[in-house]
Amino acid sequence: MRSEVARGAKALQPSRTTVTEASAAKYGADPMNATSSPQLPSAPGEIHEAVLRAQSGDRDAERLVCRRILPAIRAFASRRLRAAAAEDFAHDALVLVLEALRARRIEDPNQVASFALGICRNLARERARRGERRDVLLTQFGLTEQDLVSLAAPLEIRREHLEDCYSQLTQRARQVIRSTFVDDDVDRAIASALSISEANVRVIRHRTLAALRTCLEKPISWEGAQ
Amino acid sequence: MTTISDDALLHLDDYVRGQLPDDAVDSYEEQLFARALAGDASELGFRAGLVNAFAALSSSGTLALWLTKRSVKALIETSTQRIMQIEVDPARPSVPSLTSDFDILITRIPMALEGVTRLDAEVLTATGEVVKVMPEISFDPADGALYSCCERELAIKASAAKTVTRMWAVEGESRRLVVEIPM
Repeated sequence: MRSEVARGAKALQPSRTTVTEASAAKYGADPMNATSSPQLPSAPGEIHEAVLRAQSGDRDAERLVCRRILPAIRAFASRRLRAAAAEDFAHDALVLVLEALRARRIEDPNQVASFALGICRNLARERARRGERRDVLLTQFGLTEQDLVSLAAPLEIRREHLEDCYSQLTQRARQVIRSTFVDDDVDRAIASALSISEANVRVIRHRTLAALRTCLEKPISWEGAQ
Repeated sequence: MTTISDDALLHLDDYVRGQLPDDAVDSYEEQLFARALAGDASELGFRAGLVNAFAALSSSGTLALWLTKRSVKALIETSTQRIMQIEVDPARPSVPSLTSDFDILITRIPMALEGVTRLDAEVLTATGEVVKVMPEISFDPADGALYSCCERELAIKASAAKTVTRMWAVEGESRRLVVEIPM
C-alpha cells in the first residue's frame, strides 16, 4: 500500500541520504528506560505554559515545543517521502511552526499540535506546486540548517545493543528489517525480492519490531554472561 | 516510567509505511501530533532511534554480525575504520587480547562446512544457560571458516564473558553439532 502515490508531495525527488533523526527528548542514557527528561513538561498545563513562554520570546520554551512536535512531523513526512526528502520536509514544516510561534499566530496554545499538523498537511499540498520557502525564512530568522539539526538530541539506541539484537533475528526477519530501515524499500519491492506477499512483509516487520523492542529493553546479551 | 507499547509501535509502522486505511489517517495524525507534544508518543523516539542506529551500523559495515571471506575483503577495502583481525582455533581456543585500538573486530574461525546449508550459533554461559541464539548465520562453505564481525564495544563485552559457543548444522528438524568453542 505504500505506493508512490501514497508518498504524496511528489514534487520531492527520492533521495538516499540518511536522515538525521529527531530527538527522543524523553530518552535518557538507556533508550528503553524512557523516563521523562526533567527539562520537558509532561502535563498538558505545562505544555500550555511552554507555548505561552515560547510566544513571549523564550527560546528555551520554543526549543522544547519544537522538540516535542518534531518527531511527529518526521513521521508524517516519512509516510510520504523517502529519507532525505522527508528530512527536508520536516525542516520546512518546523520552521513554519517556529514562524507561527514567533508571530503569535497560534491563538490557543492547546491547539499547537493541530496547528503543526495543519502546517504539515498544507505543506504537503503546497510543495507540489511551489518551491522551497525554507531558505528565505531561515535567512529571515537568522537561522541555519544546523540550527534545525541541533534540535535533534542524540537518539540513544546503542549501536552494539542493536547489533546484538539484530544478530538474533532469523534471516528473513533480517532481510525485511534491513530493506525497510536501511535500504528504504517500499513493501512491494521487499515482497518481490523475497517472493512473499506484501501482507507477509508487514507481518514479519511487525513481529520483528516487537522482538527488537523486547530485546532492546533487556541488557545486552553478553552482560548477562559476565 | 514510560514504556513503549507494541500496539503504538506497530500502529506507527503502519502509518509510516502507508498501511493505514486512508480514512484512518487523519484521526491518527491528529492524536499522534497531540501525543507527541504531550510527551506521550515514545514510539516515535524508538523508531527514530532504530533508523539512526541502523544507518550507523550500515555505514560502518557492522550490521551483519556474520560475514563471508568475500564480504570481509570488501569491508576491509572500503572501510575507513580501524579493523582488527584475529583467528580463533576451535581446537585450541583462547580469549583474544583486545588491547590495541580498533573500531571493528573480525574473527576468523576455521571449520569444515562442506555440505552445510544452514548454520545456527548458540552462546551459553559456562553453566549451560543460553545467552543468545543466532539463527541462519551467513557463511560460505567454500571459505572453510566463519567470520564474525562486530563493533569494538560488543567485542569487548563478548570477550569479557566466559562462554561456550556451539555451531549447529541444521537440516530440516534435526541438527548436528559442528563445533563447540569454550572461551
